[in-house]
Amino acid sequence: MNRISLIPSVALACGVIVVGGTNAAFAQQYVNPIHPAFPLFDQEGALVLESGQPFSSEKSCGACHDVDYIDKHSSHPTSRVDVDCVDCHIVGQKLDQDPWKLDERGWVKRESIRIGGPRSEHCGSCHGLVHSDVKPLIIPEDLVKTGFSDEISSYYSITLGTGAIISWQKIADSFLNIRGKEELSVPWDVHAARLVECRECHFASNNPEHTARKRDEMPFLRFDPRRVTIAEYLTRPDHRLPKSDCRACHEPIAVHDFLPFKARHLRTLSCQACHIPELRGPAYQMIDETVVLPDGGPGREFRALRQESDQPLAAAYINGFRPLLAPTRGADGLERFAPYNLVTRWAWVSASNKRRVPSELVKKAFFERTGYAPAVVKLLDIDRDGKLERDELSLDTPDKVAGITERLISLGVIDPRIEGVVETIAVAHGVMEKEEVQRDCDACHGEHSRLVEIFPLSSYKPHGASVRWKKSPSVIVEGRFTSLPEHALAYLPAQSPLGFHIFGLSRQDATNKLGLGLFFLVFLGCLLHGVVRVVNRRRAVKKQKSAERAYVYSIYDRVWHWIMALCGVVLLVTGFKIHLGPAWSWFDMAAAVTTHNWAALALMANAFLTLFYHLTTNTLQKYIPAASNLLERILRQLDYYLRGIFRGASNPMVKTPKRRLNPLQQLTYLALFSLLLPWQIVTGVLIWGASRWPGVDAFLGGLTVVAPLHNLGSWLFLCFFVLHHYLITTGASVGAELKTMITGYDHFEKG
Amino acid sequence: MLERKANAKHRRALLVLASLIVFATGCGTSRSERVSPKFKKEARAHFDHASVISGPFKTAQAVTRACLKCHTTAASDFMKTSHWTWLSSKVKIPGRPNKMRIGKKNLINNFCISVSGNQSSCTKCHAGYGWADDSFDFKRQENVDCLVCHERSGSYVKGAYGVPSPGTDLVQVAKSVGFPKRENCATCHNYGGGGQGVKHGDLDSTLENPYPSDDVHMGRYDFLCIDCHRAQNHNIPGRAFSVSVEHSNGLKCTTCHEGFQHTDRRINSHLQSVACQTCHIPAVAKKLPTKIFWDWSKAGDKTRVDDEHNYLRIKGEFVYDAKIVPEYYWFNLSMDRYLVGDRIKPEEVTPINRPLGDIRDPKAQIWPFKVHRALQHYDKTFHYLLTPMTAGKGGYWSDFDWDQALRLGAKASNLKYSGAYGFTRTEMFWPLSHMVAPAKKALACQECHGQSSRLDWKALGYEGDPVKSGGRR
Repeated sequence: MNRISLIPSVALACGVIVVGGTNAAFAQQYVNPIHPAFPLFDQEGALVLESGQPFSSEKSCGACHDVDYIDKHSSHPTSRVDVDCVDCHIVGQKLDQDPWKLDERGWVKRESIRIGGPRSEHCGSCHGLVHSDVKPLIIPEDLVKTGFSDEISSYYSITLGTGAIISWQKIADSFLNIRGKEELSVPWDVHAARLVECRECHFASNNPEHTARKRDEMPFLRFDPRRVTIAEYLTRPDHRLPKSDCRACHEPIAVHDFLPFKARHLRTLSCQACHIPELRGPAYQMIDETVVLPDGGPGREFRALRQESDQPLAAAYINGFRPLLAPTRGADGLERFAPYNLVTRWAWVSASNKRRVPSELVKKAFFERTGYAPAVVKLLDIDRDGKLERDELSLDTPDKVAGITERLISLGVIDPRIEGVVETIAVAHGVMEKEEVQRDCDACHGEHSRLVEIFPLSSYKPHGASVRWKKSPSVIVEGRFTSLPEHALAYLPAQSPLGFHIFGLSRQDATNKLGLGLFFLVFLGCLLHGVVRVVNRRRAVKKQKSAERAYVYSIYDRVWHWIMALCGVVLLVTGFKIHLGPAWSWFDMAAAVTTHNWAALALMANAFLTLFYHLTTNTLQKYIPAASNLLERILRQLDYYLRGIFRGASNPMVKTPKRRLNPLQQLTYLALFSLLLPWQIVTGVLIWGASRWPGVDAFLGGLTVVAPLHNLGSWLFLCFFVLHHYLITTGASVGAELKTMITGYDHFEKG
Repeated sequence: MLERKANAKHRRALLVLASLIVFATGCGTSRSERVSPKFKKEARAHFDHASVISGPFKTAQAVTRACLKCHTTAASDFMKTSHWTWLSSKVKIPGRPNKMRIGKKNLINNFCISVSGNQSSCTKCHAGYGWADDSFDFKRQENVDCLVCHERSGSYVKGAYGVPSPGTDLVQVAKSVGFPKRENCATCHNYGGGGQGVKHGDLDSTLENPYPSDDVHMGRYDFLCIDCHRAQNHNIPGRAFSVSVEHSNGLKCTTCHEGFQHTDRRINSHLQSVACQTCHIPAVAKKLPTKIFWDWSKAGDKTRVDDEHNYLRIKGEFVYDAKIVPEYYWFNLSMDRYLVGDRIKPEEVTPINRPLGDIRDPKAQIWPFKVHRALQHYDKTFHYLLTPMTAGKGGYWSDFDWDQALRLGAKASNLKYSGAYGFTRTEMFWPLSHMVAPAKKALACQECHGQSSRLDWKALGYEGDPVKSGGRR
C-alpha cells in the first residue's frame, strides 16, 4: 500500500484529524483557477442535463473557443487522429459528467473543473511512456499495442521507437530489470526532473508566452509587442506544435568549455548525440509481419532486451543500447551526427504490384478457425510439442518461407516475397543528467568509434528477403547492410562518414606508411651504423682528451634547446595519443589535446624568442654554411660518416669554439627550423583553428588534408629525433656532446 | 669571464621564463573537487582494561569505585550532564517568563507519559544505579553507571531502577570496557519507549550494522555514534527536541560539512530555507517500523490478543509504519513545550512539543519530522494532562485500574487529580537527523515541486509551489 495514503487513512480510522496531511497538496493543484463555469452541450447543441445525451466538446468547448480554427491549425487534426479537447486538456482525460458536478442550469460547477494546458501524461497516452507518479516506474501492459501496420497506426511512440521514457524518477528506483541499475541514480529524463513538461517545448505556436521563434528571426528584438493578446490566444490557439530544438532554450557554446574543439564539436554533433548516450526503455528493433503471433500481432524484437518466451515485457532484462550516430542534414543545412534507432519491418509484398499483402490474408495463411493451421504448426514447430511459441515464429529457413509462400499463393496472392524496410527514428528524448552524458572521448575518437560501430537490426533475416531503407529527409545513409554473429542483419556505417576527419579514427594510409617507412629506414640505418662502429671500435683511434676547455653554449643556448626538446617529446607523445585514439587508454584524450596545444604554444613562443635571439646576436650565421667548397665539404663529411669513422679517421670538420657545426649539421638544422618547424606550426595552427575558423580549413580542403600533412611532419620530426640522438654519440666520447649541452663546456684539441 | 657575467644577468629572467613555459605545458584540466568533510574519525585503539581489572565486585557500585580510582574526575564530569541529571541547565522556555530546568525527569511525552512514579521501568535507561524515587542521591559518585556506555562484552543488561540484571558477571563486563560502540548507545536510544524504534523514526537497530543505503555515515564510512557525538569530559553534544527546547550544545550537519555547496546552483538556493535533513533523509523509519499512533484509551481489553505492533493490554492500541513520508514544518531549532500542569483544551489536539518558526522567521528552515500522535489521559475538571503510574506496585500494568494509576501518578508528580479523567489527542514532533541517505538517494526536485509534491506549500505559508510563485523574501 502506498505509504503516503496509509498514514492519514489509518489515523482517521483512529479518530485523529491529521494536521497538514500530505494529500491536500495534490487535490488543490488540480482545480483550474481561471476557467469559468460552462454549460455542457450534446452533439445537437442541447443541454446535456436535459437531453441526457453524451457531451460534445465541439459544441461545449466550441461555445467560446474557435474549434474550427483549432482543428485547421493543429498537429493533431481530427481528420488524421482521433483526439478531442478532452484527451489533452482535462485531468484524467475524461470529463466527469456526474449530475452532482453540474449545477441546476446544466453548467459544470467551478470546483469540478479540471481543465488546463496538456500535461506530459496527456501526451504520454499516445506518444510514449510518461510516468510522473511517485510510485516506482514499471512498463504498463498496454504500452505495446499488438496489430499489423494496416490495422493500427504504424507510428512509433518515443518509447517504442527510441527507448526513451519520460519520468523524473531515478532509473535506479524503477521496477525494471536494467543492467547496472544501482549506479544509475539519474532521472530518466532530465527535463521531466526539472519540472519541464512536454508543452514547454511543444507549445501552441501563437502562445504569447513564447516569443523565442520571432527572436530567432529578428535577433535585435528582445520583446515584440506585435503578438496575439491572451484573449485572442485563448479563443484561437494555434495547435501546430513546433518540434523544438535544444538550442531554443539552451546556449551550448556557453557551457562546454571543458571540451577541446568546442565549436567544432557543437557544429558537427547534435546535442542529443552526447546527451542521450544510452536508452533503456523498450525500443523496437524489428517487427516481423511475415508471421502471426498467438496474440494475433506480428513478431516483435526489442533492442538490447532479453525477454523469455512467456515473460511480460515489464519483467524483461534490459541491457540498454547506444543509439546509432548517423550523419544527418539539418534544417540549417549543416551536416551533423545525431542519434537514431533503426527499426526493421519484415512484411510480405506481392511482387506483381509491390503492395503489402493485407494482414487479413497473412492471418488466414497462419490460422484456421480456432488456432494455427496444422500445416503451419508442422512447418514451424521446432521443439515438436505441437504448439507454436513466440521464438518458433520466424521464417528463417528456405522451407519455412516456401511453406508460407505456398499458403499465400493458394489464398490468391501473386508471387509473394518478403521485403524488409529499415526505418530511421530520431532519438530526441530521454536526455540524461550531466554525469551520465557521453564525455568519454574514446567513444568516438578511436577504432571502435561509435560513429562507425555496427548497429544490429534483426536477429534473423527471413530467407530470401530483400532489404531497403525507408527514405528519411534528413538521415544520410552511407553504409551498407552486413551481419553479426547474433544478428543476421546489421548496419555497417561508412568508415569515413561524410569525409569528416575524426582524430583517433581517421587515418591516411599514405602519410602514415611513408612516415613509418622513413622512421624504420633512419632507425635501422642508425642501428647498423652503430653496430659497425662497435665492431670496429679497436681500429678507431683513441681520441685523446685535450686540455683546452671552452665555454661554447651560453645559458640561453642550452635553455632554448632543452625547452625545444621537452616540448618536442611532449608533442610527439600527445600527438601519437591523439592519432591513435584509445590505444593508450591510460591517457585521456581531452588531456592529450589540451597538453598538445599548450606544449605547441610553449614551443612556438620558444622558437620565436630563439629566432629573435639569433637575429639580434648575429649567431644565426653559424647555421648558414659557407658557400666555398660546400659540395666538396659535404661529400667529405659524408665520406667520414660512412667510412672514415669506422677506420678511425679524424673528422674533417675541425671544431673550434666559434665554429662547431659541420655543413651537414648546418643544412639539417636550417631545414629543420626554416622548413619543418614552420610546416608543423602552420598545419598545427590550422588544425587547432578548424574549430574556430572553419572557413580557412575548408578552403584548404578541411582537416582531411591538413591533418595528414601534420602527421607526416611529425614522422619527420621523429626521424630527426632518432638521428639526432644517434649522432650526438659520435663526438669525442659517447656522452661528450650531451655533457656539453648540459654544462656548456666542450674540449678542443690544442691547435 | 665577461661573457659569463653578462649571461648571469639574464639567467634569472631566463629561468623564470623557462619555468613559466614548463608550468604552462604541465597545466592540464584540473576540475575542482567537491568539498569533502574535513571531519576525521578518531583512532579506535583503546587500552585493554582486562589486565588492570581483577574484581571480584559484589555490587555494580564497586565497579564504579574501581573505575574512579584512575578516572578520578570521570564521575564528577559525567554528573553534570543530562545523561545523569535528566535535566537541563536553566533554560528559557519559549512563551514562559522564568528560566527553568527541564528534562526527562520532569517532562511528559505521549508514549509512556511520565518518569515520575514509573522509575522502576523508566530508569532502566538512566546511567546510574538505583533511582527509585525522589530520594535518589544524585551526588553519590558510585551510583554512576560507567558500564552501560563503556562495556563491550554485550552481556550487560540493566534491570529495574537501572541496576544490572541479577547474575551479571561484573568482572567480565568490567574487563571489557572501552570507547562506546554503536550498541552501547543503541540500548537506550534505539529502544526508548519500550521497544524497537518506538520513539525516534530515525534510530533503530538497523543502525547497528547498516547498509550504505540505510545510513551513509555509518553504513558506507563506518562511523560510530561517537564520531559525531564526540564527548569532551563526558559532555556529549547533540540535542533531542523531544525533551530539549533549544539547540545549545547541539550538532548540525554543517558541524562537519562546513560551508558545503552543491554543484548545482538551483540546489544551493534552497540552503537558506531547507534543512539538509529535508532532502537527505527522504523517509522516516527506512526499514524497521516506528510507532506513529498510540491510543491509551483502548488499554485493558482482556478479549484482545496481545501483539507488540498492534495491541497490548497494558498499553492500548498502536499503529506502526515504515518508509513513511515525513511531515514537513518550519523549525528554527526551538520548541514550544507542554509542561506538567499546563491547561489544555481537551477537544483540540495538544502538542506536547511544537516546532517553532514560520515562513517569516529567517532562522527557520523546513525540516522533516516524524510525528507521533496519541490519545492520552487528562483531568476532566482541571483540564490538564495526567501522569498515570503504570510500572511498579499498584500501577496500571499490574492492577488495570486507571483511577488508581492516575491517583498514584498524580501524587508522584505533585498534581491534583479530580477523579474524573478522559482521553485527549496529543502529538509530538521528532525532527529527523539520522539515517542520512547517500547523496544519490536524496530527494529529487519533483518530490517537492510539481504535481506529485510531498509538501503542502500553502500550509507552509507559501502562495503556492515556490518554483512558480517564488521563494520567501
